Amino acid sequence: MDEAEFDDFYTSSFQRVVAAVYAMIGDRDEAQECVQEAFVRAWSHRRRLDRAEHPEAWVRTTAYRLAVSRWRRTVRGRRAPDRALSLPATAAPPSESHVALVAALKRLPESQRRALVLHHIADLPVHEIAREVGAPEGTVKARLSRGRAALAALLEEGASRA
Amino acid sequence: MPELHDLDRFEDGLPTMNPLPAPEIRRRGDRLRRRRIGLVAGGVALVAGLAVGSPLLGGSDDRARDLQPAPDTGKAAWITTVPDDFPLADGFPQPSEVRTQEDPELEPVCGHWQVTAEEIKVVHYTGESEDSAQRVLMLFKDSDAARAQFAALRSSTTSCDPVPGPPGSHEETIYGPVPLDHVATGAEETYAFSEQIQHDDGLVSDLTLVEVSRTGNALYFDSRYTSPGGDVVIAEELPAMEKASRVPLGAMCRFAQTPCPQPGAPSTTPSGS
Repeated sequence: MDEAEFDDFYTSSFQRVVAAVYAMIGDRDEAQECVQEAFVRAWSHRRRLDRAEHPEAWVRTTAYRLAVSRWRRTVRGRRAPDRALSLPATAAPPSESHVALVAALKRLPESQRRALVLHHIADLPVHEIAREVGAPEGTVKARLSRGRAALAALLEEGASRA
Repeated sequence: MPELHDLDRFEDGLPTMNPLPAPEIRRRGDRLRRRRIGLVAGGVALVAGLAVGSPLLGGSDDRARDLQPAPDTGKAAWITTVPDDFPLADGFPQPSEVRTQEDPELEPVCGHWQVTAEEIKVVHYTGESEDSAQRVLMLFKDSDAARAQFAALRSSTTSCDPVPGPPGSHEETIYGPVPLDHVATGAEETYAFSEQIQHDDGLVSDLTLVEVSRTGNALYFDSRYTSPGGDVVIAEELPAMEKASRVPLGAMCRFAQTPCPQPGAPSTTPSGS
């Protein structure tokens, strides 16, 4: 992957990958930083990226694992979130609807949340999700089914409270 | 309020973010790559560090004798800088970045303890899927300091309470010692523990398996992450991890009270014998 190809890959997929990671972890700023770090690593490992069948999945998975790792350190008080990678946040905050949707997603088990995000936001078919998360296709289908039911119930609960 | 089908158009209406320009991403990636290449070229050579006649190596049985740690008898000069040819990344997924750092960033993190090492070398791997691994070599001012750190790590990880997951996640992170019936080959002391996520339906996943070994004034910290969890996975992963670490563990004898001969050092055996 040469510089021009990488730049195209970065600019065309950045927003989409951040959206997916944001939905998975519930923090948009953290998602953006982790996705940027993942792209930095992608360029530093570009030969490996060339061999990857799904470069966007590589970046997304790397970003997600970074976010999980940083969350664990933060929640145990070992390390403050590293905000070094971002430019100052000048973007508008997400809408109330997005915030409510993300809040409901956060209440799901991680495996269901991740399956829903990869299917509905990242547009991956079941077999691709299975490959990315390392689970059988049947398990992914079950997570999607249960996840949709649980999310629908949570959204309805939120609507009835509003 | 949102509805389920709003997931399908989640990106719609999300405010445009302010990412770093692509050339800056590439610049940082190049810097990371230069550091990695420089450290590997100047640091770790993939040389088998096994020494002939080392008292710490077993015979045909890979499982070492249960060695009692030797008291510090005031050895004059402990090695406190990791030798350039220490094979930390031998048997590790490649390519891997070996780096020196002050904070070992040990994964997983459990309990509260301070690392007081003289030097720390780390190699970390993140796979394309969900696999990852880490090795850390720490050198202390003497074996008493290393022994104390080993004991502190062991103590802190045997009394960790479950950590709840994010609100509404129905999961918690649990820790537990892994019973060992042996000391890792090349080490004077070894212990292992696990971190996993337990779901409210009883399933366990996201296993991080950690084995810590001490020889002399050195601690070797070996960890591996896999998506599945449970005792069966632990029973499979632990010997695989030890087998992959055979060379760096074997090289730990360099830091013992009576160090093993270094690779390439002149033989004391008279020629012709």
